[in-house]
Amino acid sequence: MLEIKNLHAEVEGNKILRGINLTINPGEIHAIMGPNGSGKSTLSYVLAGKEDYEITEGEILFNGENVLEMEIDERAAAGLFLAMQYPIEIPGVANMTFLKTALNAQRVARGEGELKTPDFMKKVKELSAKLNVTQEMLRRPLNVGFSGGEKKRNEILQMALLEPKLCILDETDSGLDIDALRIVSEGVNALKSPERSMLVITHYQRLLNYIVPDVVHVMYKGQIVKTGDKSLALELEEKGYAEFTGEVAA
Amino acid sequence: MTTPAIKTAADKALASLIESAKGALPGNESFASLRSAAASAFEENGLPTRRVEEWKYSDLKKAMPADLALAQPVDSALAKQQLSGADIIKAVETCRLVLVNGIYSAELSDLADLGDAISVRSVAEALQAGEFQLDDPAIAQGDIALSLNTALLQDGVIVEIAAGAEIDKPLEIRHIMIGGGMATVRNRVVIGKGSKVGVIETFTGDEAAYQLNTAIDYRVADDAKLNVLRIINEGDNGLHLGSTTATVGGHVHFEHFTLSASGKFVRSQSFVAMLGEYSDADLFGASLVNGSRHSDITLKMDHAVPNCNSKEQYRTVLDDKAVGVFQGQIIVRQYAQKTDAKMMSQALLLSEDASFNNKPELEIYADDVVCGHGATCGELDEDLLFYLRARGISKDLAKKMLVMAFLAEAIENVSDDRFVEALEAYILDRLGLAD
Ligand SMILES: Nc1ncnc2c1ncn2[C@@H]1O[C@H](COP(=O)(O)OP(=O)(O)OP(=O)(O)O)[C@@H](O)[C@H]1O
Ligand SMILES: [Mg+2]
Repeated sequence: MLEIKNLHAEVEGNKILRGINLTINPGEIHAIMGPNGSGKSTLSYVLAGKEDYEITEGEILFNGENVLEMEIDERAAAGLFLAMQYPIEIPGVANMTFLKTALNAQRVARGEGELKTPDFMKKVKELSAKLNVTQEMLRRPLNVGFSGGEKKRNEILQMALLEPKLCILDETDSGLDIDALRIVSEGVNALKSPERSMLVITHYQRLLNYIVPDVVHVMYKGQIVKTGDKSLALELEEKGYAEFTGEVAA
Repeated sequence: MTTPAIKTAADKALASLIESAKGALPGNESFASLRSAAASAFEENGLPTRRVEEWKYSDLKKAMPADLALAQPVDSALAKQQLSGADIIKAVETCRLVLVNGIYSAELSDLADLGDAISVRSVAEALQAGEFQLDDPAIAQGDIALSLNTALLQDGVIVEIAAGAEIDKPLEIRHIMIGGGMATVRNRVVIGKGSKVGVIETFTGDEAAYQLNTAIDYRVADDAKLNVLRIINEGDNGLHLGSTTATVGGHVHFEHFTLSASGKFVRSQSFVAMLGEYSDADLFGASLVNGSRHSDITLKMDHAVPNCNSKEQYRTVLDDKAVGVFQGQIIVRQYAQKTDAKMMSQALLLSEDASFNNKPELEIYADDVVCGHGATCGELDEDLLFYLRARGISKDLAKKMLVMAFLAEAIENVSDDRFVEALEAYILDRLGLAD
């Protein structure tokens, strides 16, 4: 599904990713944990194609295709989805219009043809009910005035609607209350399939009780410094990152 | 010392047009002297140079062609053909007054639902009968576009709305230019005391090079509610000099939205005089300027009496090598205490070669007032673009959506839902976003 080989990326001369190697097979769930500023969001943005980063070395293959040569929207249409750590507000673009435009743009890019409005409405209603996204939130401008938790739920709604092949979740659990965490996790779990992979970035082991990872990685200073199974998350929860940072946890 | 006016080819063309048109223009003798006074100023001084403050950013001398002729009367069968193509507000049902090449056509107009509360008369006819006075409000006196309008005035409509009338269907004044040439129109809309009415002015034209000088004068009596939508949809080679004057009585709500959407050179100017207390005037607008087009919005808001509110909010989108101008002047006279006047101009630049000139001016002589102005000029937000594209929306479509979003915030101000619908439909279509 995804192969990242020796990926180096920098911003304005600052090296942020320093040789990432990561392979995710179809159906696998990978988690990335790591201290603040270690480069987790940067990796997710580089995968999605954000233009602020300069890739100085390495390659990314997504189902055999060279991701670094694809446009942002081509990556999305190919099935790569990033649920962002800080979903942005877009005044003047109604959430519903946005969802429909995005879904149809992807379908057209894949040669599937647009979804008819009634079919689209039915699908959105079904999914939004599950994720506790109200009709009112669908009518409002995209994310404008949404609470932190509402924004995250709206990200997962987009993901559920777009049915990507690779879901990258960047701290989707931060800012969620206990109920919202369960709702969001259920939404994510509903998307689990042998053909769909997930890359879950989080600071909290708790999320991984809901979304159980096959593999857990620790990222530090732009490198993956340790890889293990789900028990690694429990271990980190207990000991912190002192082993990697050299600092003693308080 | 006055600098001797240097005559350009356009100035000479204008002088000879004025000379040759004399016999063909309507009006009785007393109007003829007003006309020739206005004309002689142009014959002597020509068109304004950029040294004239009001025309600093819009070079009318350069925009006017060197071969000027009056637009020719149009065969009514041909005009009929063009009529449906000129329907740019399909979303709204209207009563319709049509002017083709500056001449009012009762035949092409649709006044079936007009009712008794509205009367319509041609300006040419009223001028001939000596029953039309061209008294511009003080704030518009001496304006060059209006003087030129007086010098070459051909026709227009005089619409009177009876006191207390509530007009359901908006009244559309549709201007169509066919086959090129110069046309000069002056309309007057008299809004009776306590009446409620919506007016839509539309401007369309074919691909020929033409110059339309159009003016409209709103006389709004006390307690009235007037909503105006003005869509400038001129042809690619059309020059539009448009002036709106309004005198506003007391307890009035006056709302005016201008969409400057096309035309090679557009100057849309408004002069509003607040003459009665406790009135609101909202001047809103949006401009979409691309290619090598020039679009100028010039406003003068004059608060002469206390206790009135005015708002000006304009948004401009500029692409390619387009030039945008916003000149907004607010005058609050000494007696106009408790005035609340605000002005905001925001521009979105989609290209490095596009430019925007913004000139706000506040002249405040009263001390107990709230006045302010603001301006922004920015590019599309890359983070917003990224978000949309990350969901699979192409760069081109994402840009258009953000342009629409930017303009949607201007349209949001409009209180008449029908106008909102018409504006949205027009802009979506223009951006290629209509489904
Ligand atoms: N556009 C940028 N300009 C400058 N520095 C940047 C930029 N983007 C990221 N960085 C820097 O790169 C480093 C990694 O940031 P990143 O957001 O990827 O960390 P993270 O692992 O996601 O952290 P967190 O857990 O706090 O979300 C940080 O030091 C950050 O300041
Ligand atoms: Mg992060």
